[in-house]
Amino acid sequence: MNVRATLRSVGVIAAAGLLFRRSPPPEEGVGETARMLLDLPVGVLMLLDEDQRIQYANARIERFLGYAPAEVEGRELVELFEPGDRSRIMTLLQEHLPGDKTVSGEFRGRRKDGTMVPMQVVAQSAVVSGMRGSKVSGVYLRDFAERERLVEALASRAAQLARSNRELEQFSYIASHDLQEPLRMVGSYTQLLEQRYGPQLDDDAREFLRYAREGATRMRELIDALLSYSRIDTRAEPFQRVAADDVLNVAVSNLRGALVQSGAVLHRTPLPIVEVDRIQLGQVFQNLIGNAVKFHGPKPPQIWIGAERRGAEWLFTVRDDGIGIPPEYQERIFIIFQRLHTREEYPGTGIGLAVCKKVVERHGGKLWVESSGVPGEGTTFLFTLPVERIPVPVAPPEEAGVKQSKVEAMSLIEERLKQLV
Amino acid sequence: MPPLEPSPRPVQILIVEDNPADARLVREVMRDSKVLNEIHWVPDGVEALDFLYRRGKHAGAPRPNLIFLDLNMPRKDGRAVLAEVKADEILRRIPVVVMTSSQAEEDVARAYDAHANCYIRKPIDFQQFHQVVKTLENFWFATVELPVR
Repeated sequence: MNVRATLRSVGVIAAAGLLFRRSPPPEEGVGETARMLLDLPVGVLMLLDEDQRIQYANARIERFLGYAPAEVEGRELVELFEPGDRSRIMTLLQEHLPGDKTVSGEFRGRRKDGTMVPMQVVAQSAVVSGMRGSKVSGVYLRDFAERERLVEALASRAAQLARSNRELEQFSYIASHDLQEPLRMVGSYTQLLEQRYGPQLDDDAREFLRYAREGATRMRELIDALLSYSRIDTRAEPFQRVAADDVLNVAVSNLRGALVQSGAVLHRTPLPIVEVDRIQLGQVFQNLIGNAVKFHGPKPPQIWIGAERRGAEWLFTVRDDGIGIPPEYQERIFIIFQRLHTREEYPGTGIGLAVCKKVVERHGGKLWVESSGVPGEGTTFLFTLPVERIPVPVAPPEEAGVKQSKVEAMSLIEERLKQLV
Repeated sequence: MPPLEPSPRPVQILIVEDNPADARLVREVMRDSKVLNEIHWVPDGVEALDFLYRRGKHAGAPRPNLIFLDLNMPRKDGRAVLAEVKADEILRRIPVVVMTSSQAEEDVARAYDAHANCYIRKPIDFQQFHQVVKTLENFWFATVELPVR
């Protein structure tokens, strides 16, 4: 990725760092920022004076080369390299650095204990005002081996997670599909029994049969729910740019019956264009609005739907004036099959919000609820979707997986670097 | 639908289904059918072909007028049975109703590619199951014309 552009600012940061180490910094803020940046665990940052002597090194150097920062300060930079590479590093610094370009190269560094460590050197010089116009250089050392190790570790962790995710998906899919079979038998034969022998049975026997049949129906609903939950990942469509308003229209039209029946009033504000799996976003709208319709107070529900930009995200809200959710239950509602009411009060399996949460998270967003729990004050569900879609690592196939996650891990690290520096 | 006259000769239905409870359900629904019928049940593909070719213990088997075929079965599955039946110049005339719990779209496509006469997902609900079997019965034994031999 764009490491070079990232490191271009190293000189500037390093210079700022120097400022805060010397006489009182011109602005307290700059000193603090510089200190923070210099202590970032991304690599060794050093400042050199015009004679290529080390003025400052951050704490990372200890882990990387075995020296404490104080031990190298005042020494020449070349001492940190294998003798065979010393003239090459001098050339780099003396001949090429004086421009305002960033220079970089690969060298063999030498640890305090004399062992060799391959590393990348990136340097840039900067004129520091207030230092009598003297020129300093910022040098950044990057440990190839360590970076490789990090990348490997990340990659294997990612592959492991992907594998366990896949297994879990498979498990719930197979479990719910294979569970249908025996259940079909229980349901069918209780119905057949009821149909054919119902008239010969007494009231007790018919009641028992009814419970058995209801149990089978209930279990089927749960299995269907589980299946649809597992399908969020297994049957996902590719993301595409769509007007969220169109998606909402479909959801509203699917809910027409319930909306009309409850006398619900929708208040909509225009929604943005988003990059999503449109079926799944539709499910989110449908479940959230469906809940707003279902859990309403004595009056017909009022429902407000809108979105606003919050930095790199869209914040969607679905607000109602219904019975609310007491704060102590607000965590639980997102767990699959968790319900706050009896089925007699409000029917349902308790899958809706779990599906919403999983869908939003799959899209790189967050979903949460705000409610005082006071009936009539209603509930607001909020969820975010990224404005720009950064490619999300998809579960990689077995073999190619490790390599793929490695690439992703690297771009992730570099993305992170860019944000930090 | 005109009322059905009881046929003089019973229609022969072969159910190829590894789950006896499922086979029995079809039998139960067909029990109060207006169409005089005989149900034969085999639990897997190997026996299904023995039945169709009148081999071994099925030497005296009648030629079915309709086959209910499950896809997932031990030994020889329904896909293989379908392929063999539809490759046989005589057997290929027998309508094959693929009746399975498979939800896979590729199973549907593959069944029609292999010249299944129709593909039915086993309804989970008994009332629906009853309805489906009745519909099939009406379609195959009262609506369409089947080959005499």
